[in-house]
Amino acid sequence: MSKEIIKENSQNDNRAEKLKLYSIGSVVLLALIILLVNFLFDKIFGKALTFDFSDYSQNSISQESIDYLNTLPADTRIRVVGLFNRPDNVSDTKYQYIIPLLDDYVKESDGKVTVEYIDPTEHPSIIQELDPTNSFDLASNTENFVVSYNGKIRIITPIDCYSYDEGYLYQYGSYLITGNNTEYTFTNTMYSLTQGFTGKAYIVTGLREEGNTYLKTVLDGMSVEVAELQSSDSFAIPDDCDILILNGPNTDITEKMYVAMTDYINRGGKMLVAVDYSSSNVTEKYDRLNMLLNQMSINVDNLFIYESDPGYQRNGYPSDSNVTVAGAFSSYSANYALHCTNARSVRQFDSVNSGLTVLPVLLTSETAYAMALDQYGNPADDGVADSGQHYVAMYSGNENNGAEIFVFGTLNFTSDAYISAYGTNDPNVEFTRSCVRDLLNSSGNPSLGIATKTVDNFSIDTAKATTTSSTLVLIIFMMVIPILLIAVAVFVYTKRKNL
Amino acid sequence: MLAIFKREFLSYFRSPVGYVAIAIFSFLSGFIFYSQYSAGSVNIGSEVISLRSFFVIIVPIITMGLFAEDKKRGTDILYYTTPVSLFSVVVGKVLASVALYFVMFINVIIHIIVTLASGGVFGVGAFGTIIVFFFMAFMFIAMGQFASAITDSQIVSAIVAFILILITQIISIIGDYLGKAATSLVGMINPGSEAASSFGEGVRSFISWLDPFAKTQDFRLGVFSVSALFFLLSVGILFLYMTYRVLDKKRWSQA
Repeated sequence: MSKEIIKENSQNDNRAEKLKLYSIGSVVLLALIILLVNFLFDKIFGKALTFDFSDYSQNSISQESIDYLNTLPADTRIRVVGLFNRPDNVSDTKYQYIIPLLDDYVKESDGKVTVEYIDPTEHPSIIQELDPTNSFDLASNTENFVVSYNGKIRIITPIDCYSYDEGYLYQYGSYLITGNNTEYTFTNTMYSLTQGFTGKAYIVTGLREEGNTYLKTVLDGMSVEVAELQSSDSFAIPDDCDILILNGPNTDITEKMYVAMTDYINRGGKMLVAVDYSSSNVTEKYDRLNMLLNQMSINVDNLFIYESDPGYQRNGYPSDSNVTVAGAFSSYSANYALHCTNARSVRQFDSVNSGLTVLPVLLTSETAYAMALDQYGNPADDGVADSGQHYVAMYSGNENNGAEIFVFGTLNFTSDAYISAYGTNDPNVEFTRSCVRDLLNSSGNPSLGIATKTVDNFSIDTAKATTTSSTLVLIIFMMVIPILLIAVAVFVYTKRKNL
Repeated sequence: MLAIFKREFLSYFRSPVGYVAIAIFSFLSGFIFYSQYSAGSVNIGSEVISLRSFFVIIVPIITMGLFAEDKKRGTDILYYTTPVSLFSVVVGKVLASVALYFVMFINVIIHIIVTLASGGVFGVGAFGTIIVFFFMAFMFIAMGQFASAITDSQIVSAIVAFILILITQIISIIGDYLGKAATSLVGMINPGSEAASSFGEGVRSFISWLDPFAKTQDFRLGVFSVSALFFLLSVGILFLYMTYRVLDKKRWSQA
């Protein structure tokens, strides 16, 4: 009897041991199969079975970029390197809209674009590999991207990929993102690297101007190489200058600049000048600048444009209005009216030199005023200077030497504040592009028109989300509901206990 | 399976467990919602993502009794003797726990309604996070159920489930450390070689590849990946199978 029990126990032990081995073996086998299947599924179908349902297709490149990539030869190799390890989670980071979009470049480019994430602190050789001459100091760009093509590189910082509110940045010191330019930035960077530059622009600095970051971005996108020309005693305009830009100087040009620019114009140079009428320059008359412009028969007056026509005013402000595009320049913009703020009157100089063609570009209504203001920005004692149609921008071209100039009396076409607020695809910015193209005499479209995408906005209506409603939310969701549920739990527990 | 599902689902409401779990979920989701609402910006996607962090607390509570309680009482013998397949038992219990999560989620649905009524938005990204939320809930509940099947103590079951879910949540951090360890190890064997960092990076990448949170992060941005959902589903199924094997082994070992 005991032998039988021992035998049965032994059989049970054997069976249990076999079952254990079978269980462990089958689980390990299934785990390996699942791992392998997932790996293969991810590699083979992962990208094909990934769908971008986001609003505005934030994470997919547009048809313009795809068409551009398709035009590139099959052996094109554009390398995008993020100088950091790829973050595991990009949500709510500055890379939120960048990294998923770069993945889409890889997916759509058929091998022409590769994206890598290499931290130079872990792989120092990447710096030498990308920038052998160390011209770009990549070691200090460890949060940025490098786009490399045939030995040429461009650095893209995350903030280059966004429009932001300049006023907010100035006031609070942090970025308030207003638009997503990631695709615009990357595609046009690739475009300029693969196409080469169509010209070189020099932006004059050192005249208390606000900044040129966005104008540079716009020019970059047009494959125009940009350099700064600092105000100095040895100011000179380089021979390779295709366009000289004065963007929002708040002080007059120096004597040295005047001489150099006069010489530049006499040699057939091209200029783009933009000034406005703001608190920073209300008393500035730009005498030397006007002496220069007068040679092209244009004058910038020390008069403020006051738009009295409600049909032209934007939101009822006389200083913030629409201006119409003159017929000769209607092809520069798909919009009949453009946006002008704090404008200074630009007019034809009293005498027109021979060989010059002087044309108005942007016009006010027939009933606008050009007013003189005092140093505080109030109407001066002599009041209204002139009533009628005024010009906010003018063009002058010299058919003898080829010199050309666009003069804007507003910064709404070139300033960081405007472009950051309205995006690089705003009609004003597109108009600026057309002017630059005209000055460069470039045909075709040297930049790719990729729209700024709207970033997600989760704001709620402050009229509805009042302090009272917030308090109600607090009380109901954090107190009433949980406490009621706990009370029910206690009740149920008590009932069960008494069963 | 339906009978098991009904029995398990209703049992949550015949004991304090279901109410406590929902109360915790309500409080946490209410806190997150209130923080956003009072700041004037409500992103339901962010709320749901934040709630995923609390799986580590809520899932052990609702799964600890799934099998451990029956084992302790000895009523688990019914699984082996009644004409119901073990597979039905395992799946029915998991579905009951997932259904409890659906009930909890009513809180978030109310938040969505309040958001829309307050002029906010409920975008496709938020919808994506909700899909991921339930796939993850299934995966973690399957883990919790497995933890409950291997012990007859609810406390031990909860602790094991907590550890399993915690490991899953910090797997990328673990990957970083193991990657660095692998780099150091290979660096000691072959000093000055870039192969060491490449090997370490490979280890880190592989372990990070297993991170379900990283795999599904783009859903919030409106990018839906079928392979990520497939991963969550298959890991959940693996744990269901493991639970099934534990029960099946016990059934035949006890014969």
